[in-house]
Parts: sequence; structure tokens; C-alpha cells
Amino acid sequence: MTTTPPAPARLPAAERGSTTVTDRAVSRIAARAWAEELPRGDAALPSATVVRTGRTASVTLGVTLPYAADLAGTAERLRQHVARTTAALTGLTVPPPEVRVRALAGSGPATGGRLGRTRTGAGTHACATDAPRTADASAGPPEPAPAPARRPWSPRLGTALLVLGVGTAACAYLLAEGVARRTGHVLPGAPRPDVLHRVATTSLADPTTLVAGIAAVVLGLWLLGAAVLPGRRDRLPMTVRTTGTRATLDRSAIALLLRDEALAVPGVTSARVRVGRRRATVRALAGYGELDAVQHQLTASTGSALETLGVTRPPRPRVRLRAAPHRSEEAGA
Amino acid sequence: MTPVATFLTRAALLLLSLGSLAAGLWLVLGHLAVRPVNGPHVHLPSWWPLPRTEAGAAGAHGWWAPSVLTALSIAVLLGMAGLCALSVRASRTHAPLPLGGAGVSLRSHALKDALASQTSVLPGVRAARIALRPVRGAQLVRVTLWLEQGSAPEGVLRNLETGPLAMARAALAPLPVRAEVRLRARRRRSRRTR
Repeated sequence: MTTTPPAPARLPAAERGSTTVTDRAVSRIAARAWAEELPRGDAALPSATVVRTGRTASVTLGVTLPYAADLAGTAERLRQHVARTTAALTGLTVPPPEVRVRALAGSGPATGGRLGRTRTGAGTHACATDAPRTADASAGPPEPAPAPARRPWSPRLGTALLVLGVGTAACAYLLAEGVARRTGHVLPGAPRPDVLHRVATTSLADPTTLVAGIAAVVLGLWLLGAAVLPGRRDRLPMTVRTTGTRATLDRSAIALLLRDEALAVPGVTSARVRVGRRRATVRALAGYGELDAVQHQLTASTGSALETLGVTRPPRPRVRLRAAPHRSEEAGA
Repeated sequence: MTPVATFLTRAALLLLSLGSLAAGLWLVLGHLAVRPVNGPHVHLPSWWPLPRTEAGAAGAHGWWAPSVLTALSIAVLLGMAGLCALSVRASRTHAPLPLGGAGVSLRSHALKDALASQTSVLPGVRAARIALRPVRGAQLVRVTLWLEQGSAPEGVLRNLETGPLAMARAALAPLPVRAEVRLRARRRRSRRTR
């Protein structure tokens, strides 16, 4: 610390000596300064490193911040506090430290969103109310009108990787073969005459030209489809209420949900479900009960299940109910 | 993937497809024009590029081999550059996020862990996977949820929007957060015996 000791006799400046603050002391002061500004529970001491050039100490802090709104504002406030406090206590010039947030503490259950909905039985659905929003005012109010759902396009990463990998490998092979041939070598296992030579000497009238041309056209059509079609046909877009969010529901998930719904209807003993992009088909077998009543209930439960999916354009339901085989024999007797 | 990356991959695929289509059509039409056997023939206009000799003996020309080898070298270099670019993109998921002005950065794993722990305890959610990706001027959060049996997707999505996603938006403000949510269901055995 740069406190001047009481000096009764005035010494010349060169003989008074000087006080140095070690880097370790600076780093501990900076870490304490950070921790004292945080609430008690989150007051784990950050790690601090100091690099000093002359009378300037640059501090880098590795910290844990409480997971709450406005992380950037909190960090900025704490930076300024650390710089002020450290500078005041050490007498050095301390610019605001570089802060690296390593973890977010206290990321327990989020506010709101505790009102889950579970299906209790066939056709009965508890109605979900929007959870009360607390503390998240800066996120903006939810839009009253649901945003129109756009189908997210597939990035075609798999196709790109496949084309890139296979294409590069094939080109590399042809290159190696051509170079080897022109330098008087032959690649082990290479066909003779080599591929490039054959390509160069095959005439247009040769039938292989036709085969190769058709193959290239088919490949081109496939690539064209991959380039311009949206893809991701296995998912249906959902209606979202916040801007900047897009959501999809897998068709296979819809099929499983509909199957559960169908099996929950009394009388249905087995069900097969196919969910297309526009239509959902439920084929069920009734093991017992009045066929008409079971059909009615199954249609109702399927329809209401489709409405609670949250999908922008729910697939239209189509329900086929048949009597189980052993039952129809009984009925015929 | 970001919109820019999607555009780039799709543009590259489009170029390749057009090249492949052109080459294939050239071969097919050229074959149909010069084929000796009976069958459908086409008459090509005079400007149509055909090899000068009937035999198509490009191998006789001195330019054939060097130009093909040059083109192949360029293709190999471009392909390897593309593969490198893709792997670099994949590694960028771990880059720290800048918070506010300069001097503050957030380790992406910290945000990922916080989001994952909040999301996986939502009612009706069996498992959750979070992927982060920086996009221009925003943070992209991709959430994949596996639904529990009997949970309603609409309710789960509302809870996700008002809970973890809203909190992430508030925490990262003023940096906008874009979210892509995918709800899935895991296959399971029938719960009822026949």
C-alpha cells in the first residue's frame, strides 16, 4: 500500500525508498473486489491473473455470474467497480479488467413455465393457461397474434458433405492416375487403359456415352432437387408466440401421440397410425364395445388431439375402425 | 446451420447440378445425333459443340491431358478447402460469446449448461439437447426436445418459450437470441398387450 510513513526528518527523494505491490496482491484485491459486489450465495472468488507494464496492471478475471437478466450490464458494472477499487487500494493504474464468464450459477428452474399439461384420459385435456411472466420484462411482451410459421429449410449439410467427400476422393484418384501415367508409372490396382484415357478415346456413338449421359442427368436432377426443395419433410412447423423463435414437431412424434390417444379409447385393442404432411390416418381394431360408439369416441379423441398439437396446419384426421377378427366371428354366429 | 451457410451449400449444389445436367444432356443428345444404329435420331443445330472427329479422339490432341489434370487439381483443392471450411464451422460452436461491449465474454458451455438444466426439467420433457451457434448480430440457440409419453407438444413449447428461452433472451440482452426448436418423440414399446 502506498501510505506514506510519518517521516520526522525530510530525506532526499532518492533515499526514501518505494513501496511495491506484488502482482499476487493485486490479483487478490481484484478478486475480492469482484466478489464483494455479488450476493452472498454467488460470492465464489474468481480466478485473477495480472500482467503489469510499468504502473499499469491489466487484470483478467475468470468468474461465475448468477444466471439472471442483463448479464452484460452486470458484468460491466462489476468491471468498473473492480477497476476503481483495485486502483484505489494499490495506487496503480488499473483499466477495467477483461472478464471471462466461465459458468452461470443458480440456473435452476426458469421463471414461469411450470404449468405443464398432461393428458389424463381419452378426450379430456386440461386447458393450459399461459404461465405468468415474471422478471423477464426486457424480453418484450409475447405477441398477441401468433407469428405465421415458416417451414425452416434444411441446410443440406449431409448432402453437401457426401458430394464434397465423394467428389474430392474421385478427383484425387483420377489426378493420381493421370499423373502416374504421364510420368511412366502405373498405380497398383488401376485399370488399363486408365480411366482418363478411356474417356478421351470413347466416341460419342459408343453406347457407354448414353449410359454415362443418363447417369449425369439423374445425378443433376437429384442435386437440383436438393438445392431448391426445402427438405425436412419429416417435421411440421408449429405456431410460436415469440419473435425470433421457430419450432417444428416431428411427424413421428405426432404418430406416437395419436397412437397413445387411440389406445386410450375404451374398446380399441390395437392401432396403427400414419401421419403424412396433410393427413393423419388411424387404423384401429375394436376388441369389444359397440362399434359405432367406439368409432365416435375415437374420431373425437383423434380430432381433439390434433388440435392440441400446436402445429400451424394440423393434418386432417382419417379414422378407420374395424372389429377385431375374433369378434366379427362372434357377431356372425 | 446459419442462413448464410444454408444459402452457400444450396448455391454450390445448384451449380453442381446445373453442370451435371448440362454435361449429361450434351452426352445424351450427342450420342443420339451420331449413333449408327437405327432408332431415334436427333438433328442438332449447326452451332452445337460436337467433337471434330467422329471418333471423338480428344486423346490425340496435346491439350487434353494437361487441361484435364489441371482441372482435376483445381477440383481437389476446392473440395479440400470446402471440407476444411465445414470443419472450421463445426468448431466455431465452442467460441466464447461477446457480452455487451469489449472485454466481457461468456463461455458458450456456461450458457449451454444453464439452458439445458432449465429445459430438461420442464414438465413433459424427457430429454433436451442444446446447440449454440453464433450468427451475424445474434445468437442462435437450437433446442431439441424429446417428449415424454402423453405430454402435449403445444404446452411444452409454450413453457419453453416463456421459461428458458425468455430467460436466455433477458440474460443475453441486448444481443438478440434466435431459437430453433425441434420436438421429437422417442420410439417405445406398446404399453398395452394385445
